[in-house]
Amino acid sequence: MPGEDEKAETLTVEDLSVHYGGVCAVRSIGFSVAPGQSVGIIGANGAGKTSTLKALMGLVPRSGGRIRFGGTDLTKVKARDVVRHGIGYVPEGRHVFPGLSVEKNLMLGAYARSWRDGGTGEALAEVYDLFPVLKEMRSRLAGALSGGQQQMLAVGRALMSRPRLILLDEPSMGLSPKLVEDILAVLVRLREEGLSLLLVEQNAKLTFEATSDCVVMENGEVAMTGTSRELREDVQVRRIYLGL
Amino acid sequence: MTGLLRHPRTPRLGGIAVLVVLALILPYQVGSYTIHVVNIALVFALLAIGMGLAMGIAGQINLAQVAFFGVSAYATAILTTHNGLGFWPAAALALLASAVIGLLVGVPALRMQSHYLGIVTLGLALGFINWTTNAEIAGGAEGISAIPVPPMFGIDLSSEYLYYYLEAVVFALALLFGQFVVRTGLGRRMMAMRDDPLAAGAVGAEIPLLRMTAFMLSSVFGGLAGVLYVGLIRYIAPDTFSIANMFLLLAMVVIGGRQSLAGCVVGAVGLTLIREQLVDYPTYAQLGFGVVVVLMVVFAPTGLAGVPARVRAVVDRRRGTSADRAALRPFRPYEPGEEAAAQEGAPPMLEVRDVSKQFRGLKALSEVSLTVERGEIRGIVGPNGSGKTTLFNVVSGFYKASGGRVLMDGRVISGGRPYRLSMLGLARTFQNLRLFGELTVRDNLLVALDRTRTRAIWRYLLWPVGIWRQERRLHRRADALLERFGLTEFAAAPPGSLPYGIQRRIEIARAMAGSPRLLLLDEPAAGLNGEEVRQLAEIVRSIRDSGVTVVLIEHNMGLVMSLCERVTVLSNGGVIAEGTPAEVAGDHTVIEAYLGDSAMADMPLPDPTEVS
Amino acid sequence: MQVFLQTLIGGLSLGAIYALVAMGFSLVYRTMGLVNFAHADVLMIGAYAASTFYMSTKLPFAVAMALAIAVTGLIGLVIERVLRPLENKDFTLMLIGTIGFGMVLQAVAVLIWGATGRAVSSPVGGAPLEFAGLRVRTYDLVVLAIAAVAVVLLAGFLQRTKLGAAMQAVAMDHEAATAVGIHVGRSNAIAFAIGAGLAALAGGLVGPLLYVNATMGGAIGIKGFAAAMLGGCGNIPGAIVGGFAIGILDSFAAGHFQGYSELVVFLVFTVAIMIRPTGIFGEMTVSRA
Repeated sequence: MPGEDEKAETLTVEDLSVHYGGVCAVRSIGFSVAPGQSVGIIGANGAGKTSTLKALMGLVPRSGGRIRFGGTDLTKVKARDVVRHGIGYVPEGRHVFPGLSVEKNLMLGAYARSWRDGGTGEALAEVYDLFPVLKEMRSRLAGALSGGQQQMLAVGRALMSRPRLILLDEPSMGLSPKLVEDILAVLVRLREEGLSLLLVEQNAKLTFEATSDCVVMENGEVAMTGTSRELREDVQVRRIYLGL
Repeated sequence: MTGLLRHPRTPRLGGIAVLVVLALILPYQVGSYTIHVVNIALVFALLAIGMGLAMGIAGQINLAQVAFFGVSAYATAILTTHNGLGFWPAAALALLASAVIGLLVGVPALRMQSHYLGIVTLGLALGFINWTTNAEIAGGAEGISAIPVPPMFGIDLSSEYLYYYLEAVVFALALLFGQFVVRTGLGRRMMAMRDDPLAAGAVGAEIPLLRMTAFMLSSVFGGLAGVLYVGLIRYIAPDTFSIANMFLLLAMVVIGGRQSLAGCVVGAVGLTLIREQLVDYPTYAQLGFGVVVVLMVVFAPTGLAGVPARVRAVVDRRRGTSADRAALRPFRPYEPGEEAAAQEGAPPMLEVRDVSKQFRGLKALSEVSLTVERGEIRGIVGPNGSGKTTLFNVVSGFYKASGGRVLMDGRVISGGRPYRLSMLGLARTFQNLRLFGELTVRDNLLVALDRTRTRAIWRYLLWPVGIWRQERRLHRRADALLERFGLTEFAAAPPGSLPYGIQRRIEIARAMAGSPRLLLLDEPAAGLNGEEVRQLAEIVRSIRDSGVTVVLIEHNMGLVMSLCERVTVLSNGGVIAEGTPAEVAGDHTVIEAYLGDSAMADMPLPDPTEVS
Repeated sequence: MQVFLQTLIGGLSLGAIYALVAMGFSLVYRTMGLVNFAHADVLMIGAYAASTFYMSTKLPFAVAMALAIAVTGLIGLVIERVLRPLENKDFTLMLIGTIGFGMVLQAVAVLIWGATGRAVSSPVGGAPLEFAGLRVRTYDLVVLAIAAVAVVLLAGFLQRTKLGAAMQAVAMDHEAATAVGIHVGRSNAIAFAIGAGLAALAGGLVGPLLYVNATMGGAIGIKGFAAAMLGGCGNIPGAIVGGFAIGILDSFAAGHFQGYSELVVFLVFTVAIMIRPTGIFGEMTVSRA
C-alpha cells in the first residue's frame, strides 16, 4: 500500500541512546531502513529492542542521537505527529482500544487523515481485504477478539494511516506457531507491496524470513548486523539468545 | 534510641525548649481576644494532626474529619446537658464514640480505592451534618448551649487564659504521641502503604487493618479536638462542622505540608490567625485559601514543611550530592546456614500444582506445575508474555489463581493475602523496583524487618516502652543489614535519588529483611552492568547458602546458566522444558520458543571456553 | 400504592439531574482518572449563570442555559490547564487541587451574586398534570426531556463523531492514542469542558427545583458522584441508572425519614458501594493498565 506521494524516504538512526532514570536501555545504536527495505531488530528479552522503537516514535525521551526520515528530523517531531510523517506503529502487546468496535479501532488508525475523503474508505477496504476476519468482526468490541485477531487489528490500524514505513514491535508475542505463520504471510505481503518495514522481534526465524537485513541487539547495543540470510547461518545468534 | 535521634528531621532539643518557654509565657503577653484565637488555633491544630496522619502519613483521603470532631463535641454536649454526666466522664465516652465512628468510616476503605474514599467520607460527613441540623437531641440549628465548665481541681477553666494551659498540655502530649507513631513502626508501615501498597503488603504490612488504623487515629485526634472545643466554647451548633470548615481544614493541611505533623500544625495555626485577621472579609479569605491550595498542589506538593527539603535538594544538586560521594561497599556474605539440601521426607519448599490464571478469557497460565526443592536456586525463563511474572504474582498472593494450588513447605498458600505469605516466610522483589520512595533506605529496611502484627498497636497506648525497646532492636538489625549489603553510607538517602544498581540491591536487602525461607526475584539483573551482575550472582549464592531457597525470573541468560541448578522454561503460559541449564539450552522446544526455529538447535554450539 | 408511585415520580426529576452530574463526572474520571471535586461547584456556577441570564437579562430559558454551559465550559478548560502538569502523575494531588478550585468558585459566586442565594421561577407555568390520580409537575417533564436529549447528544457525540471516538481511545490507552496521532492533552481538555457543560446543564435545570446559593453544590454534587459510583464510573447507562437510583432513594428517604433523609441516603449508598465496589455496570469498564 504505497502512499500517493511516495518519496524516497530513508529512515536513518545514528548514535541513539535511551535512558530510564539511571538505566541505560539503549546505548548509541545506529542503522537505516531504505525505501521498500525490510529490516529486523532481533535479540533476547531486555536487549533494548522495544525501547528503540518507542524512541523512534518519541514515546520515550531520547538522550542523544539523530533520527531522520527522508527530509524530516524526527527528534523534533512530537510523538502524536510522527504518524503524520508517514510512519505507522504497531505497539508491543497489541494495545488495541478494547472497548471500541473493530471498525472504530481501524478508523482511529486514520485519525490523522480526513474521515470523509475517499482515501480512508479505500484504506479500510484494503485492510479488510488483507484481513477478512476483521471484516467479519467489524462491529465486535476489540477487547473480545482473540490474541491473533487483536494482532491483525493492530497491524490494520497502523496501515489505516497509509504509512510509508511501518514499525512493528513483537507481532508474534504470545501467539501460537500457526498464528505466527499467518503474521509472517502478512509481513511478506506488505513487503511485496513496497512498504518499508522495521520489525522488532524475539522470534528470529520469523524475522529472518520477513526481512532482508537484520540488526542483532544485546544489552542495549548492536552486537551484529548483516543480511538475514547470513545471520540465519550464524551460530553467534543462538549464543546471544541463550547467553552462552 | 540512638537511631531515632539520628533522624535528620528531629529538631534540636534547644529549639524545643525555646518553644516550651514561649508557650508558657504566651498568655502573659497577649490580650483576651488573642488568647481566644490561640485556643481555637490549637483545636484546629489537633484536627490537622489527625488529618495529616490519615492523608499525609497513611495516604488515605479522609474528608470526614469534621464529622469525627463533631461526633465527640456533640457526644460531650449531649451527655453533660441531657444525661447529666460530669464533663470528664462524658469526654471519655465521647472520645470512645469518635474512635468507633472512625473505625466504621474506615470500613469502606477496606474495599475501595482512595479516590472513591474521598466521596464516601465526604458523603458520610454530609450525613452527619444532616443529623445535627435535624435531631431534636442535638438541638437542631440552634445547637446546644449551657454546657458545664470542665472541673479541674478547683482551677477555674472558664478563664480562657487558664484553659489555654489545659489545651497546651493536651496538644503537646497529642503531638508527641503523633510524632511517636510517625517515627516508629506503625508510622513507617503507614508511610510504606502510602508510597506503595503492593510492596507494603509484600513485606508483611496488613493493608486492610492499617487503613482502619489510620482512620481510627485520625478520628481520635478529631475527638480530642471536639472535647477541647466544647470545654472552651461551651456551646455548639452545626455551623462549626460544615463542609466549608472541612475544606478549610484540608487547606491547612495541604498548605502546611500533609506529610509532616509539624507542617500540619503550622498550617492550622497560620490559617486560623490569617482567618481572624480577615474576619471581616471571609469570602476573600476563602478565595485566597483556595488559590493557595491550587498553587501548592501544582508547585509545592509537600507544602511549607517540604520547602526546606526542596531547597536543600536544589543546593545539593548544584554542589554535587553527598550520595555521589558515598560509595557502595562490598556485600559481606551470610554465614552458611542450616543444611540447605533436602532432608529425607521433607516436603519441597515450593510446589506449584496445575496452576491456571485467566484474565478476561485470556489464558496467561495454563496448568503450570513445578517443584522447587529446599536450598535450590531455580531459574524461570521464557519469551516475553510467556507468563513468568504472572506466575510470581500468583505464588506471592497478588493474583488469585483461576485453578490449581500452590504449596510452600508442604502448606497450601494459594489464596492467602500477600502479607500472610510474607509472615509465612515468602519474600519477593519486583521487576520495576517498588521501593518506598519517600522513606529513607534505612526505613525501607525497617518496614520489612518489623514482623509484629498490626494488632499489636495496643502497646502504643498501654506499653510505649515496649515499642521503644523494639525500635532499638530493629534499628540495630537494620544497621547490621545495611552493613552486610554494603549500603551503610546510603542509609539516610531517599532511594529514588540513588543509582539504579544500588536500588536493585536495596530491594534484595529489603526482601531479606523479613528472614524469608523462599525468595522470589523478578528480573534482578535488569538494568545492571557486568560488574553489578557478577556481584548479584555472589549475593544470590550467599543467600542460598544461608538456607534460603531462591527462585528467579531472568532475561540475562548468562546469569541464569551460571547461577541456577535447574531451569524451568515457560512459553505461552505453559512449562515447555525443565532441567539443568545445559539440558535446557540444548532442548529443541526451548530453542524453537526463543528463536522460532528448531533447525538452529542442530547447529554446533560455540566453544564453551568463550563463556564469560 | 398510590403513595408509592407518587414518591417514585417525585424522585425522577432529581434523579435525572443526578444522572447529568454523574455523566459529567464519569466523563472526566474515565478519560483522566481524576475525581473532580470542583464538579459540584461548577454546577453551582452554572445554576447562578443560567438564572442570571434568564431572570436578570431576560433571555429565553434555553438561551440562558446555552450561555451558562459556554461559561462553565471555559471554567472547565481553565481547571484542566492549571492541573495539567499533574496529569497521569499524582491523582491524589489533582483531587486536592480540584477541591481548591471548588473553594475559589464558591468564593467567586459569593462575590458576584452575594451570600443570600435566590429562588428561580419555573420557566413553564401551569397546574400539574394528572394521570390516573398521580400528579406530575410540568417542569419535571421538561427536566426529564432535556436530560434525555442531553444523554442522546452525548452518546451520539461519543459513538458517532471522530472526536468522540478519539476521546474514548485516550481513556482506554493513551500511548496507543498518541501513536495514531491523537493530541491527548487536547482530548482531556475537551472532556473536562464537556463535563463542566453537563454540570452547568444540571445546575441550570435544578435552579427552579431548589434554591440557588453558593453552597448548593455540596449535596447535589456528592449525590451525583454517588450516582456515578453506584452505576460503575465510566459509562452512560451506569450514570443514568445510578442517577435515578439515588433520586428515587432520595425521594423515599424524604418521605419516610423526613429531616434525616440525607443521612439515610448516604448510609444506604455507603453500604451498597461496599457490597459492590465496582458499581452496577462496573465490570464493563475497561482497565486502564
